[in-house]
Amino acid sequence: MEVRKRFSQELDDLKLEVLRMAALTEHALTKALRAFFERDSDLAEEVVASDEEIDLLEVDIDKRCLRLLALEQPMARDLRFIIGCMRICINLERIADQAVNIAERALYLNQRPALPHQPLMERLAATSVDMFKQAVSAFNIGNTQQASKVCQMDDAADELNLKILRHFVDYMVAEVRAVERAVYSIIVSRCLERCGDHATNVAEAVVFIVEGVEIKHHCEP
Amino acid sequence: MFRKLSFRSRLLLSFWAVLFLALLLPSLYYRKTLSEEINADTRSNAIHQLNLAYWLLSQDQPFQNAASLQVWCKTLGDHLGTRITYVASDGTVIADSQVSFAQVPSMGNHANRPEIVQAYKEGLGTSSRYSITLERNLIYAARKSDGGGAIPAGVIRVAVPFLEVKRKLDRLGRNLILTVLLAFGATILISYLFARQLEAPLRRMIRAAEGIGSGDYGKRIRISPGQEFSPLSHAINKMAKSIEKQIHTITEQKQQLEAVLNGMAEGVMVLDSRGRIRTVNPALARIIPHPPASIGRRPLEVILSSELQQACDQVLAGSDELPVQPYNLEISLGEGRAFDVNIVQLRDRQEGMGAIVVFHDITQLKRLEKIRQDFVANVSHELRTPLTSIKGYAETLLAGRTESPDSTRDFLQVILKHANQMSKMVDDLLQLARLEARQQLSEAVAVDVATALNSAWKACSSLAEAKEVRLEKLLPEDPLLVRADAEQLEQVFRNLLENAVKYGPSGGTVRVSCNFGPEGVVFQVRDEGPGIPSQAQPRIFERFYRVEKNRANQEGSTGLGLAICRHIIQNHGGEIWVESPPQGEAEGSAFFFTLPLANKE
Ligand SMILES: Nc1ncnc2c1ncn2[C@@H]1O[C@H](COP(=O)(O)OP(=O)(O)OP(=O)(O)O)[C@@H](O)[C@H]1O
Ligand SMILES: [Mg+2]
Repeated sequence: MEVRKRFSQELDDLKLEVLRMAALTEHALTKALRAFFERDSDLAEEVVASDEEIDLLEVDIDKRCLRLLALEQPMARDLRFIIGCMRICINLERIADQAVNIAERALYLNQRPALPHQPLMERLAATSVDMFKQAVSAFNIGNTQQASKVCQMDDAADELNLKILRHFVDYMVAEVRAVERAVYSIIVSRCLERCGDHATNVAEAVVFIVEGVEIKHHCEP
Repeated sequence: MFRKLSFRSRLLLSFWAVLFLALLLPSLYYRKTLSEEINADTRSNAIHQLNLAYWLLSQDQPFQNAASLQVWCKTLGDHLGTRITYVASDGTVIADSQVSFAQVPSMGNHANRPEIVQAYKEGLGTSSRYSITLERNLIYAARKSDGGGAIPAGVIRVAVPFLEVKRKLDRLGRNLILTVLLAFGATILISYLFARQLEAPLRRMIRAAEGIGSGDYGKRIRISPGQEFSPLSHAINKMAKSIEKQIHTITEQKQQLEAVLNGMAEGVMVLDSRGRIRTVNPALARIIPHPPASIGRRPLEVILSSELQQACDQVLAGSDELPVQPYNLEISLGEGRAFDVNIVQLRDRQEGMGAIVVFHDITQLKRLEKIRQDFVANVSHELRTPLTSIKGYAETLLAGRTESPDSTRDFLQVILKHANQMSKMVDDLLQLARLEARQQLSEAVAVDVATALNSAWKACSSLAEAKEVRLEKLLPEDPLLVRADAEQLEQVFRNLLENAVKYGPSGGTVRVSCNFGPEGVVFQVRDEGPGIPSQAQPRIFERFYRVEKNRANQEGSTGLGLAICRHIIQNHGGEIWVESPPQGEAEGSAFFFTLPLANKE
């Protein structure tokens, strides 16, 4: 009984650590986006600096999971929870890396004249952040419906990414001087799209934890 | 053991004990002594009769034969009402008053009868025994006799029956047991009835006490089963009353506290010692974007901020001896919302240390602070730029280093241009201040929109011609009249058109159209320019705010135009907003504002 109680406490702590990592990642992502859209290089520097903490946290959570797997030999849902947490962590860390990428592009772009305002990019950013938040919230309350919704949103993100690519290609044809900046912006768009993909992976891990089914690469359980 | 029994069985047991003591013991005792007495009496009576029979025997001697002895025995026995037997020393019965002479020889040998044995040994013997011959309890007494004549030496024996009382006594003993059994049965009934009579009010008392226990503090005990119970019911009533009073106080305090919590604009979260949320107030539920059931969760699960969780952990880690200072931090949640968070320890004797987290929304405060900072920075910046030029050119002129009157003139021209710009800015600022001070409009009359629009377009025609921008008017044919200050309406149009031309592309088109909504007319000024980033959209109506400060084509602009527009429109009771990109378009921006229609009388 005592052992059981301690184990569930450990699982609870694990969840909290994953949420902590999600919080830090969200912070990094939104900061990077503000650095990009509001041309604020200080914020970009902060994002680059904060990445180490997230990396350390990932290692820590990974160790935690391995220890729980080895010592407790969990079954069924507990096992899925631990493995799901490991998957989520990997994706969170990748999203944080994308945030760093965006911040680095922003550092470069902020030193050049601004490109015209990009409403599509704003929409993609909003979509990616929303996907991320929904995925984390789905994990937090164990809601598979919300998780499926995230998977569906991924299409919208991919489509926006393509649109942005087309837009910038047209733009580069017209304004040769802006080719470099446009390419960098395309990279940002690509990063955002990747964030969406990772958020989808997080959502899939949630479905795996709650229902024990793999929905990788297709949206329905 | 006794305590565990029910009241009824205890009552029953005590009844039985009393019955046993009062009924059975004395009667058993009396029965015993009485029967002893009767035995002794009967025995002495038997001895008396024996002595009498012996004396008579010695008087009436000698007998000629056994038959005469038999007659004598019978006569005496009849007179005395006893049985008289004469037994020879060899044990054969010679005469017996109760047996006919013919049957005497067939009687058994009496030598081993205890009384006869005793009589030979001691001269006198007694014994009590059930006689098979007479079928009753008898007392036998025997005495040695020397005989004489035809009668051999032997023993004379008298058998006296026990008194009739003795038999009655025996029967009484049997009846007594029956009576006692009956009495025991009766006590069961009595104790049951009595206990029930006691139980009914007792049960009511219990029900009242239970009612009090389960929260019906208004309940009182009115009847008590007996005098002994009245202190108990008094005590229970008193307890109920004091509980009622305390509950009342507590409820009142709780209600007050709840009202305070519910009425607070700040979000409040109470944590228990394990760092889990115990309660939140409605204001906090508004802060959390999609509030999951927050009770029992940890702060991080509800508000995704790792700083907050860390701070809570730190405060909760403080002990009684080492209290942590009230913790203060600032967290920002999504959509640019900022909160000032205060965490204080909550000392709870039962459950250890808890914490109270208070969220103070400082989004607006921060925004205002930023506006103010920007305003000061902007005013000084905007004034300094032209001033530096003016100063520079004026110094050059004073130094007399100009070569030709032409360049002197150029310099003076530049100075004038900058001075004009400064004065325009000061004018704008003054107008803004006036608009702000005078919230209501004084001279609202019916104004023809077409006239205002035409003169506004004329004002920015020079710039429009330079950029080859066309104006497309999509207004109704008949004159459209709105209630407004003519000059101010023209200014709104001028500012919006100026912006559309200035920020739009060369050779583009600016469209002005209108719609009729419930609050009046909705005007739209649309261009094909680069648009305005969404996070800047709420801010462009602030004074001095300009999008992307390093954009080149903003020469001669101060960022006051839209601020003035907003104030004018607000003073007219209307609204102004921007959509960028406009609905259904990929780029460009559309400015909307509403104005009330003028009554057409
Ligand atoms: N039609 C438009 N298209 C794109 N950006 C615009 C448009 N209108 C306004 N803006 C942006 O909004 C900012 C604020 O406009 P506002 O009219 O208040 O100031 P301004 O035009 O810079 O200066 P002023 O009007 O005082 O000369 C501008 O700096 C510009 O960046
Ligand atoms: Mg303007």
